[in-house]
Amino acid sequence: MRWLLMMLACFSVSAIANSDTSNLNASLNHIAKATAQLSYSGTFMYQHDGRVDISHIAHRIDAAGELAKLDALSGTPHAFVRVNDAVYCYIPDGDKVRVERRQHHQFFPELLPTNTSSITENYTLKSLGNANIANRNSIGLSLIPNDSYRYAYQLWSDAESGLLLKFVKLDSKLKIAGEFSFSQVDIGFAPERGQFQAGYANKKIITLPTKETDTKTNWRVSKLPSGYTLMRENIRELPGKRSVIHQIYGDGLAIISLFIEPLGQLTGNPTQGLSSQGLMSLYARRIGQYQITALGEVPPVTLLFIVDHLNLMATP
Amino acid sequence: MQNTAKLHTNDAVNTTDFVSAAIDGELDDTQLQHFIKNYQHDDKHQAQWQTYHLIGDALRLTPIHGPSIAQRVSAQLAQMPTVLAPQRKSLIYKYTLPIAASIAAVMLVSWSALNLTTVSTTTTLAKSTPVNQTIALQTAQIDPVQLNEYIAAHRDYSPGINSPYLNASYEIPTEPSR
Repeated sequence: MRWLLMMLACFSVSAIANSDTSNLNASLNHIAKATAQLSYSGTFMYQHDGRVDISHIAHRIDAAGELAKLDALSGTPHAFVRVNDAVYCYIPDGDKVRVERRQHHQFFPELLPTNTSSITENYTLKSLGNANIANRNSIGLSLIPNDSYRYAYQLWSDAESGLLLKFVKLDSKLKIAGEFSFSQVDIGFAPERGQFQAGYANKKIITLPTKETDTKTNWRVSKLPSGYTLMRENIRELPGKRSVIHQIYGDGLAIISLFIEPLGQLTGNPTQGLSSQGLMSLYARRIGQYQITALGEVPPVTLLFIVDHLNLMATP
Repeated sequence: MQNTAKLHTNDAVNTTDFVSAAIDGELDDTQLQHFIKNYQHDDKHQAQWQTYHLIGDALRLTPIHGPSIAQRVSAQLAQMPTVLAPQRKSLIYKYTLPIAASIAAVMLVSWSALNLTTVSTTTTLAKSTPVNQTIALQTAQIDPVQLNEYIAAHRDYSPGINSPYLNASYEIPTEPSR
Protein backbone atom coordinates (compact mmCIF):
# COMPACT_ATOMS: atom_id res chain seq x y z
CA MET A 1 0.00 0.00 0.00
CA ARG A 2 2.77 2.37 0.97
CA TRP A 3 4.57 1.58 -2.25
CA LEU A 4 1.47 2.24 -4.23
CA LEU A 5 1.00 5.61 -2.54
CA MET A 6 4.61 6.56 -3.17
CA MET A 7 4.34 5.63 -6.80
CA LEU A 8 1.13 7.58 -7.12
CA ALA A 9 2.79 10.55 -5.48
CA CYS A 10 5.71 10.31 -7.90
CA PHE A 11 3.42 10.12 -10.88
CA SER A 12 1.34 13.08 -9.80
CA VAL A 13 4.45 15.19 -9.13
CA SER A 14 5.77 14.50 -12.60
CA ALA A 15 2.33 15.04 -14.10
CA ILE A 16 2.11 18.43 -12.40
CA ALA A 17 5.59 19.29 -13.65
CA ASN A 18 4.64 18.31 -17.19
CA SER A 19 1.40 20.23 -17.18
CA ASP A 20 3.26 23.26 -15.78
CA THR A 21 5.69 23.07 -18.66
CA SER A 22 2.96 22.78 -21.26
CA ASN A 23 1.05 25.67 -19.61
CA LEU A 24 4.15 27.85 -19.76
CA ASN A 25 4.80 26.85 -23.37
CA ALA A 26 1.20 27.66 -24.22
CA SER A 27 1.43 31.03 -22.51
CA LEU A 28 4.60 31.88 -24.47
CA ASN A 29 2.77 31.00 -27.64
CA HIS A 30 -0.14 33.16 -26.52
CA ILE A 31 2.18 36.14 -25.90
CA ALA A 32 3.70 35.80 -29.39
CA LYS A 33 0.31 35.59 -31.09
CA ALA A 34 -1.33 38.35 -29.02
CA THR A 35 1.59 40.72 -29.59
CA ALA A 36 1.40 40.17 -33.34
CA GLN A 37 -2.40 40.47 -33.54
CA LEU A 38 -3.38 43.17 -31.06
CA SER A 39 -3.79 46.85 -31.76
CA TYR A 40 -1.99 49.05 -29.24
CA SER A 41 0.01 52.21 -28.80
CA GLY A 42 2.43 53.30 -26.14
CA THR A 43 5.80 54.59 -25.10
CA PHE A 44 8.64 52.26 -24.30
CA MET A 45 12.16 52.59 -23.04
CA TYR A 46 15.18 50.57 -23.92
CA GLN A 47 17.72 50.61 -21.12
CA HIS A 48 21.18 49.32 -21.86
CA ASP A 49 24.78 50.12 -21.00
CA GLY A 50 23.73 52.95 -18.72
CA ARG A 51 21.68 54.63 -21.44
CA VAL A 52 17.98 54.94 -22.13
CA ASP A 53 16.40 55.18 -25.57
CA ILE A 54 12.76 56.24 -25.64
CA SER A 55 10.40 55.41 -28.49
CA HIS A 56 6.73 55.56 -29.27
CA ILE A 57 5.08 52.61 -30.95
CA ALA A 58 1.68 52.35 -32.62
CA HIS A 59 0.31 49.11 -33.97
CA ARG A 60 -2.96 48.63 -35.81
CA ILE A 61 -4.51 45.47 -37.14
CA ASP A 62 -7.55 45.87 -39.35
CA ALA A 63 -9.13 44.34 -42.43
CA ALA A 64 -6.37 45.86 -44.59
CA GLY A 65 -3.65 44.17 -42.58
CA GLU A 66 -0.94 45.45 -40.28
CA LEU A 67 0.34 48.96 -39.73
CA ALA A 68 3.13 49.76 -37.32
CA LYS A 69 5.04 52.93 -36.63
CA LEU A 70 7.97 53.56 -34.39
CA ASP A 71 9.08 57.09 -33.56
CA ALA A 72 12.36 57.66 -31.82
CA LEU A 73 11.77 60.17 -29.02
CA SER A 74 15.43 60.32 -28.03
CA GLY A 75 18.69 60.27 -29.93
CA THR A 76 18.84 60.81 -33.69
CA PRO A 77 15.27 61.53 -34.84
CA HIS A 78 13.95 58.81 -37.09
CA ALA A 79 10.83 56.80 -37.69
CA PHE A 80 10.02 53.39 -39.05
CA VAL A 81 6.72 52.71 -40.75
CA ARG A 82 5.72 49.18 -41.56
CA VAL A 83 2.81 48.40 -43.86
CA ASN A 84 2.39 44.64 -43.77
CA ASP A 85 5.82 43.43 -44.92
CA ALA A 86 7.12 46.70 -46.32
CA VAL A 87 9.31 48.70 -43.97
CA TYR A 88 10.35 52.29 -44.56
CA CYS A 89 12.86 54.20 -42.52
CA TYR A 90 12.47 58.00 -42.35
CA ILE A 91 15.35 60.21 -41.30
CA PRO A 92 14.63 63.93 -41.21
CA ASP A 93 17.52 66.20 -42.14
CA GLY A 94 16.80 69.91 -42.18
CA ASP A 95 14.06 70.61 -44.71
CA LYS A 96 14.45 67.16 -46.23
CA VAL A 97 13.59 63.67 -45.15
CA ARG A 98 15.42 60.61 -46.39
CA VAL A 99 13.34 57.54 -46.95
CA GLU A 100 14.77 54.09 -47.32
CA ARG A 101 12.96 50.85 -47.97
CA ARG A 102 14.20 48.03 -45.75
CA GLN A 103 13.81 44.31 -46.18
CA HIS A 104 12.92 43.95 -42.59
CA HIS A 105 13.00 45.84 -39.35
CA GLN A 106 11.95 44.35 -36.09
CA PHE A 107 11.03 46.36 -33.05
CA PHE A 108 9.64 45.99 -29.57
CA PRO A 109 7.23 44.53 -28.58
CA GLU A 110 7.13 42.22 -31.62
CA LEU A 111 10.21 40.30 -30.61
CA LEU A 112 8.86 36.76 -30.59
CA PRO A 113 8.56 34.50 -33.62
CA THR A 114 5.11 33.24 -34.60
CA ASN A 115 6.34 29.72 -34.02
CA THR A 116 7.75 29.47 -30.51
CA SER A 117 8.75 25.80 -30.62
CA SER A 118 12.44 26.56 -31.19
CA ILE A 119 12.28 28.58 -27.97
CA THR A 120 10.46 26.01 -25.86
CA GLU A 121 12.79 23.28 -27.10
CA ASN A 122 15.95 25.17 -26.20
CA TYR A 123 15.03 27.18 -23.13
CA THR A 124 13.50 26.08 -19.85
CA LEU A 125 10.52 28.25 -18.98
CA LYS A 126 9.72 29.21 -15.42
CA SER A 127 7.07 31.45 -13.98
CA LEU A 128 8.24 34.70 -12.34
CA GLY A 129 4.88 35.58 -10.80
CA ASN A 130 3.07 38.89 -11.16
CA ALA A 131 4.23 42.49 -11.34
CA ASN A 132 2.88 45.89 -12.27
CA ILE A 133 4.31 47.18 -15.53
CA ALA A 134 2.97 50.37 -17.14
CA ASN A 135 0.00 50.16 -14.75
CA ARG A 136 -0.93 46.75 -16.08
CA ASN A 137 -1.04 43.53 -14.14
CA SER A 138 1.60 41.46 -15.86
CA ILE A 139 2.94 37.95 -15.58
CA GLY A 140 6.59 37.02 -15.89
CA LEU A 141 8.37 34.16 -17.57
CA SER A 142 12.04 33.36 -17.35
CA LEU A 143 13.73 31.55 -20.21
CA ILE A 144 16.88 29.78 -19.16
CA PRO A 145 18.89 28.20 -21.99
CA ASN A 146 19.32 24.44 -21.99
CA ASP A 147 22.85 24.71 -23.37
CA SER A 148 25.62 27.26 -23.62
CA TYR A 149 24.80 28.54 -27.10
CA ARG A 150 22.46 31.32 -25.97
CA TYR A 151 21.76 33.72 -23.14
CA ALA A 152 18.75 33.86 -20.84
CA TYR A 153 15.75 36.18 -21.12
CA GLN A 154 12.77 37.32 -19.08
CA LEU A 155 9.43 38.22 -20.59
CA TRP A 156 6.59 40.08 -18.91
CA SER A 157 3.21 40.10 -20.58
CA ASP A 158 -0.14 41.74 -19.92
CA ALA A 159 -2.20 39.28 -17.84
CA GLU A 160 -5.40 40.28 -19.61
CA SER A 161 -4.42 40.50 -23.29
CA GLY A 162 -1.08 38.70 -23.51
CA LEU A 163 0.74 41.71 -25.03
CA LEU A 164 4.47 41.65 -24.34
CA LEU A 165 5.15 44.54 -21.96
CA LYS A 166 8.75 43.98 -20.98
CA PHE A 167 11.63 42.07 -22.50
CA VAL A 168 14.81 41.56 -20.50
CA LYS A 169 18.13 40.29 -21.83
CA LEU A 170 20.33 38.58 -19.28
CA ASP A 171 24.05 37.97 -19.51
CA SER A 172 25.94 34.76 -18.76
CA LYS A 173 25.72 35.51 -15.04
CA LEU A 174 21.96 36.07 -15.29
CA LYS A 175 22.40 39.79 -14.65
CA ILE A 176 20.24 42.24 -16.58
CA ALA A 177 22.11 43.49 -19.63
CA GLY A 178 19.32 45.24 -21.51
CA GLU A 179 15.63 45.80 -21.09
CA PHE A 180 12.74 46.97 -23.24
CA SER A 181 9.78 48.09 -21.18
CA PHE A 182 6.55 49.95 -21.80
CA SER A 183 6.17 52.98 -19.56
CA GLN A 184 2.65 53.64 -20.84
CA VAL A 185 0.46 51.58 -23.10
CA ASP A 186 -3.10 51.49 -24.44
CA ILE A 187 -4.14 48.02 -25.49
CA GLY A 188 -7.01 47.10 -27.77
CA PHE A 189 -7.68 50.56 -29.21
CA ALA A 190 -6.67 50.77 -32.86
CA PRO A 191 -4.78 54.02 -33.46
CA GLU A 192 -6.27 56.06 -36.34
CA ARG A 193 -4.77 55.28 -39.75
CA GLY A 194 -3.62 58.89 -40.01
CA GLN A 195 -1.22 58.29 -37.13
CA PHE A 196 0.82 56.01 -39.35
CA GLN A 197 1.80 58.69 -41.82
CA ALA A 198 5.43 59.53 -41.46
CA GLY A 199 4.54 63.11 -40.52
CA TYR A 200 7.12 64.82 -42.69
CA ALA A 201 4.62 66.22 -45.19
CA ASN A 202 6.33 69.62 -45.25
CA LYS A 203 9.75 68.20 -46.02
CA LYS A 204 11.26 67.28 -49.33
CA ILE A 205 11.39 63.51 -49.69
CA ILE A 206 14.61 61.95 -50.90
CA THR A 207 14.14 58.30 -51.66
CA LEU A 208 17.27 56.24 -51.21
CA PRO A 209 17.84 53.13 -53.26
CA THR A 210 17.36 50.03 -51.20
CA LYS A 211 20.63 48.48 -50.15
CA GLU A 212 19.39 44.96 -49.64
CA THR A 213 18.09 42.28 -51.93
CA ASP A 214 17.01 38.74 -51.13
CA THR A 215 19.35 36.14 -52.46
CA LYS A 216 20.30 32.51 -52.27
CA THR A 217 23.99 31.74 -52.09
CA ASN A 218 25.99 28.54 -51.86
CA TRP A 219 27.27 29.40 -48.41
CA ARG A 220 25.82 26.95 -45.93
CA VAL A 221 26.50 25.98 -42.34
CA SER A 222 26.78 22.20 -42.22
CA LYS A 223 25.81 22.00 -38.58
CA LEU A 224 24.07 24.60 -36.42
CA PRO A 225 23.67 24.65 -32.64
CA SER A 226 20.29 23.29 -31.52
CA GLY A 227 17.33 25.45 -32.51
CA TYR A 228 19.22 27.83 -34.81
CA THR A 229 18.13 28.16 -38.42
CA LEU A 230 19.08 30.33 -41.37
CA MET A 231 16.28 32.91 -41.34
CA ARG A 232 17.26 35.18 -44.20
CA GLU A 233 19.91 35.73 -46.77
CA ASN A 234 20.52 39.10 -48.41
CA ILE A 235 23.04 40.87 -50.55
CA ARG A 236 23.73 44.15 -48.85
CA GLU A 237 25.53 47.08 -50.29
CA LEU A 238 27.93 48.78 -47.92
CA PRO A 239 29.58 52.14 -48.55
CA GLY A 240 32.39 52.07 -51.05
CA LYS A 241 30.39 49.90 -53.44
CA ARG A 242 31.13 46.88 -51.32
CA SER A 243 28.67 44.08 -51.73
CA VAL A 244 28.43 41.62 -48.86
CA ILE A 245 26.36 38.53 -48.26
CA HIS A 246 24.37 38.96 -45.07
CA GLN A 247 22.97 35.80 -43.52
CA ILE A 248 20.76 35.97 -40.46
CA TYR A 249 20.54 33.00 -38.11
CA GLY A 250 18.39 32.72 -35.02
CA ASP A 251 16.81 30.40 -32.49
CA GLY A 252 13.68 32.53 -32.08
CA LEU A 253 15.29 34.88 -29.56
CA ALA A 254 19.02 35.08 -30.18
CA ILE A 255 19.96 36.58 -33.56
CA ILE A 256 23.28 36.23 -35.36
CA SER A 257 24.50 38.04 -38.46
CA LEU A 258 27.10 36.53 -40.75
CA PHE A 259 28.79 38.76 -43.32
CA ILE A 260 30.68 37.14 -46.18
CA GLU A 261 32.75 39.13 -48.65
CA PRO A 262 35.68 38.52 -50.99
CA LEU A 263 39.03 39.44 -49.47
CA GLY A 264 39.82 41.33 -52.65
CA GLN A 265 37.37 44.11 -51.89
CA LEU A 266 38.82 44.76 -48.45
CA THR A 267 41.75 47.03 -47.96
CA GLY A 268 44.66 46.03 -45.78
CA ASN A 269 44.85 42.82 -43.85
CA PRO A 270 41.44 41.94 -42.42
CA THR A 271 41.38 40.95 -38.79
CA GLN A 272 40.87 37.48 -37.52
CA GLY A 273 39.85 36.80 -33.98
CA LEU A 274 37.18 36.48 -31.39
CA SER A 275 36.00 39.20 -29.13
CA SER A 276 33.21 39.70 -26.66
CA GLN A 277 31.85 42.53 -24.63
CA GLY A 278 28.70 42.53 -22.60
CA LEU A 279 26.23 40.46 -24.58
CA MET A 280 27.81 41.22 -27.91
CA SER A 281 30.25 38.78 -29.47
CA LEU A 282 32.27 39.22 -32.62
CA TYR A 283 34.24 36.65 -34.57
CA ALA A 284 36.17 37.21 -37.76
CA ARG A 285 38.13 34.71 -39.81
CA ARG A 286 39.07 33.92 -43.35
CA ILE A 287 37.66 31.01 -45.35
CA GLY A 288 39.46 30.58 -48.65
CA GLN A 289 39.43 33.93 -50.39
CA TYR A 290 36.59 35.29 -48.25
CA GLN A 291 36.44 37.27 -45.07
CA ILE A 292 33.74 36.11 -42.65
CA THR A 293 32.48 38.37 -39.87
CA ALA A 294 29.94 37.06 -37.39
CA LEU A 295 28.28 39.04 -34.63
CA GLY A 296 25.35 38.90 -32.31
CA GLU A 297 24.18 38.93 -28.72
CA VAL A 298 25.17 35.32 -28.14
CA PRO A 299 27.99 33.60 -26.26
CA PRO A 300 31.26 33.61 -28.24
CA VAL A 301 31.18 29.81 -28.56
CA THR A 302 28.02 30.07 -30.70
CA LEU A 303 29.80 32.22 -33.29
CA LEU A 304 32.80 29.87 -33.28
CA PHE A 305 30.56 26.91 -33.84
CA ILE A 306 28.60 28.45 -36.68
CA VAL A 307 31.46 30.04 -38.58
CA ASP A 308 33.62 26.95 -38.24
CA HIS A 309 30.88 24.91 -39.89
CA LEU A 310 30.42 27.37 -42.73
CA ASN A 311 31.23 26.05 -46.20
CA LEU A 312 30.95 27.23 -49.75
CA MET A 313 29.03 24.39 -51.37
CA ALA A 314 29.48 23.39 -55.00
CA THR A 315 25.71 23.46 -55.51
CA PRO A 316 23.04 25.27 -53.53
CA MET B 1 20.10 8.35 -27.18
CA GLN B 2 23.21 6.32 -26.60
CA ASN B 3 24.79 9.18 -24.79
CA THR B 4 21.79 9.59 -22.57
CA ALA B 5 21.72 5.88 -21.80
CA LYS B 6 25.36 6.02 -20.91
CA LEU B 7 24.77 8.91 -18.59
CA HIS B 8 22.13 6.97 -16.73
CA THR B 9 24.69 4.38 -15.73
CA ASN B 10 26.99 7.02 -14.31
CA ASP B 11 27.07 8.01 -10.73
CA ALA B 12 25.82 11.59 -10.73
CA VAL B 13 28.09 12.68 -7.90
CA ASN B 14 31.16 11.26 -9.59
CA THR B 15 30.22 13.01 -12.78
CA THR B 16 29.95 16.33 -11.02
CA ASP B 17 33.28 15.84 -9.29
CA PHE B 18 34.86 14.95 -12.56
CA VAL B 19 33.45 17.97 -14.32
CA SER B 20 34.62 20.29 -11.61
CA ALA B 21 38.06 18.64 -11.53
CA ALA B 22 38.26 19.04 -15.27
CA ILE B 23 37.30 22.66 -15.06
CA ASP B 24 39.83 23.29 -12.36
CA GLY B 25 42.44 21.76 -14.59
CA GLU B 26 43.14 18.96 -12.14
CA LEU B 27 42.87 16.14 -14.66
CA ASP B 28 45.84 14.95 -16.62
CA ASP B 29 45.44 14.13 -20.28
CA THR B 30 44.62 10.47 -19.69
CA GLN B 31 41.91 11.30 -17.19
CA LEU B 32 40.61 13.97 -19.46
CA GLN B 33 40.31 11.54 -22.31
CA HIS B 34 38.60 9.04 -20.05
CA PHE B 35 36.21 11.72 -18.91
CA ILE B 36 35.38 12.77 -22.44
CA LYS B 37 34.92 9.20 -23.63
CA ASN B 38 32.37 8.67 -20.90
CA TYR B 39 30.16 11.05 -22.79
CA GLN B 40 30.69 10.08 -26.35
CA HIS B 41 30.32 6.87 -28.15
CA ASP B 42 32.77 7.43 -30.94
CA ASP B 43 35.62 9.65 -31.90
CA LYS B 44 33.78 11.93 -34.25
CA HIS B 45 33.97 14.79 -31.81
CA GLN B 46 37.73 14.56 -31.96
CA ALA B 47 37.42 15.54 -35.60
CA GLN B 48 35.06 18.36 -34.82
CA TRP B 49 37.56 19.51 -32.31
CA GLN B 50 39.91 20.17 -35.18
CA THR B 51 37.53 22.76 -36.46
CA TYR B 52 38.19 24.80 -33.40
CA HIS B 53 41.18 26.11 -35.22
CA LEU B 54 41.23 29.25 -33.20
CA ILE B 55 41.51 27.35 -29.97
CA GLY B 56 44.27 25.29 -31.52
CA ASP B 57 46.10 28.38 -32.61
CA ALA B 58 45.70 29.79 -29.18
CA LEU B 59 47.06 26.63 -27.58
CA ARG B 60 50.10 26.65 -29.79
CA LEU B 61 50.88 30.14 -28.67
CA THR B 62 50.35 29.36 -25.05
CA PRO B 63 52.15 27.06 -22.64
CA ILE B 64 50.02 23.99 -21.94
CA HIS B 65 48.79 24.22 -18.38
CA GLY B 66 45.64 24.11 -16.29
CA PRO B 67 43.22 26.47 -18.01
CA SER B 68 43.70 24.89 -21.42
CA ILE B 69 42.17 21.72 -20.04
CA ALA B 70 39.06 23.53 -18.88
CA GLN B 71 38.81 25.05 -22.28
CA ARG B 72 39.16 21.76 -24.08
CA VAL B 73 36.60 20.07 -21.87
CA SER B 74 34.04 22.79 -22.27
CA ALA B 75 34.55 23.02 -26.00
CA GLN B 76 34.08 19.28 -26.37
CA LEU B 77 31.16 19.16 -24.00
CA ALA B 78 29.55 21.96 -25.93
CA GLN B 79 29.56 19.64 -28.91
CA MET B 80 27.45 17.07 -27.13
CA PRO B 81 23.97 18.40 -26.64
CA THR B 82 22.44 14.97 -25.96
CA VAL B 83 24.29 14.78 -22.68
CA LEU B 84 22.32 17.72 -21.43
CA ALA B 85 19.03 15.89 -21.09
CA PRO B 86 17.27 18.33 -18.75
CA GLN B 87 15.61 15.73 -16.58
CA ARG B 88 18.95 14.19 -15.69
CA LYS B 89 20.73 17.36 -14.74
CA SER B 90 21.74 17.87 -11.19
CA LEU B 91 21.79 21.51 -10.18
CA ILE B 92 25.54 21.63 -10.00
CA TYR B 93 25.89 19.94 -13.37
CA LYS B 94 23.39 22.36 -14.88
CA TYR B 95 25.32 25.41 -13.80
CA THR B 96 28.81 24.03 -14.16
CA LEU B 97 28.66 23.71 -17.92
CA PRO B 98 27.69 27.29 -18.65
CA ILE B 99 30.44 28.39 -16.28
CA ALA B 100 32.92 26.17 -18.10
CA ALA B 101 31.75 27.64 -21.36
CA SER B 102 32.15 31.17 -20.11
CA ILE B 103 35.61 30.42 -18.82
CA ALA B 104 36.45 29.00 -22.21
CA ALA B 105 35.02 32.07 -23.87
CA VAL B 106 37.08 34.42 -21.77
CA MET B 107 40.21 32.48 -22.49
CA LEU B 108 39.55 32.30 -26.19
CA VAL B 109 39.00 35.97 -26.26
CA SER B 110 42.02 36.84 -24.24
CA TRP B 111 44.22 34.58 -26.29
CA SER B 112 42.97 35.88 -29.55
CA ALA B 113 43.50 39.34 -28.22
CA LEU B 114 47.21 38.58 -27.86
CA ASN B 115 47.46 38.69 -31.62
CA LEU B 116 45.65 41.90 -32.03
CA THR B 117 46.77 45.40 -31.51
CA THR B 118 43.76 47.26 -30.43
CA VAL B 119 41.42 49.65 -28.87
CA SER B 120 41.29 48.59 -25.27
CA THR B 121 37.96 47.87 -23.78
CA THR B 122 37.35 45.80 -20.73
CA THR B 123 34.75 43.14 -20.61
CA THR B 124 32.53 42.47 -17.67
CA LEU B 125 33.00 38.79 -18.37
CA ALA B 126 36.75 38.97 -17.97
CA LYS B 127 36.51 41.29 -15.00
CA SER B 128 34.34 39.00 -12.98
CA THR B 129 35.85 35.67 -13.91
CA PRO B 130 38.35 34.74 -11.24
CA VAL B 131 40.77 32.83 -13.49
CA ASN B 132 41.19 35.84 -15.69
CA GLN B 133 41.04 38.71 -13.30
CA THR B 134 44.06 40.44 -14.68
CA ILE B 135 43.25 40.09 -18.34
CA ALA B 136 41.73 43.07 -20.02
CA LEU B 137 39.80 41.96 -23.02
CA GLN B 138 40.64 43.71 -26.20
CA THR B 139 38.54 44.30 -29.20
CA ALA B 140 39.51 42.79 -32.47
CA GLN B 141 40.99 45.39 -34.72
CA ILE B 142 38.22 45.84 -37.14
CA ASP B 143 37.90 49.17 -38.80
CA PRO B 144 35.34 50.93 -36.55
CA VAL B 145 33.49 52.36 -39.55
CA GLN B 146 33.23 48.95 -41.12
CA LEU B 147 32.13 47.40 -37.83
CA ASN B 148 29.48 50.05 -37.44
CA GLU B 149 28.12 49.16 -40.88
CA TYR B 150 27.85 45.53 -39.88
CA ILE B 151 26.12 46.47 -36.66
CA ALA B 152 23.72 48.78 -38.49
CA ALA B 153 22.81 45.92 -40.81
CA HIS B 154 22.40 43.56 -37.88
CA ARG B 155 20.15 46.02 -36.05
CA ASP B 156 17.38 45.54 -38.59
CA TYR B 157 17.06 42.00 -37.30
CA SER B 158 18.09 42.34 -33.70
CA PRO B 159 16.38 45.27 -31.99
CA GLY B 160 18.32 47.28 -29.49
CA ILE B 161 21.68 46.03 -30.66
CA ASN B 162 24.19 48.76 -30.23
CA SER B 163 27.86 48.91 -30.75
CA PRO B 164 29.75 48.21 -27.58
CA TYR B 165 32.94 48.59 -29.56
CA LEU B 166 32.30 52.22 -30.29
CA ASN B 167 31.26 55.00 -28.04
CA ALA B 168 28.88 56.28 -30.65
CA SER B 169 25.43 56.97 -29.36
CA TYR B 170 22.38 55.49 -30.98
CA GLU B 171 22.56 56.29 -34.63
CA ILE B 172 21.02 55.04 -37.80
CA PRO B 173 23.69 55.03 -40.44
CA THR B 174 21.37 54.40 -43.35
CA GLU B 175 23.09 57.11 -45.32
CA PRO B 176 26.75 57.00 -44.39
CA SER B 177 28.75 60.04 -45.31
CA ARG B 178 30.11 59.56 -48.78
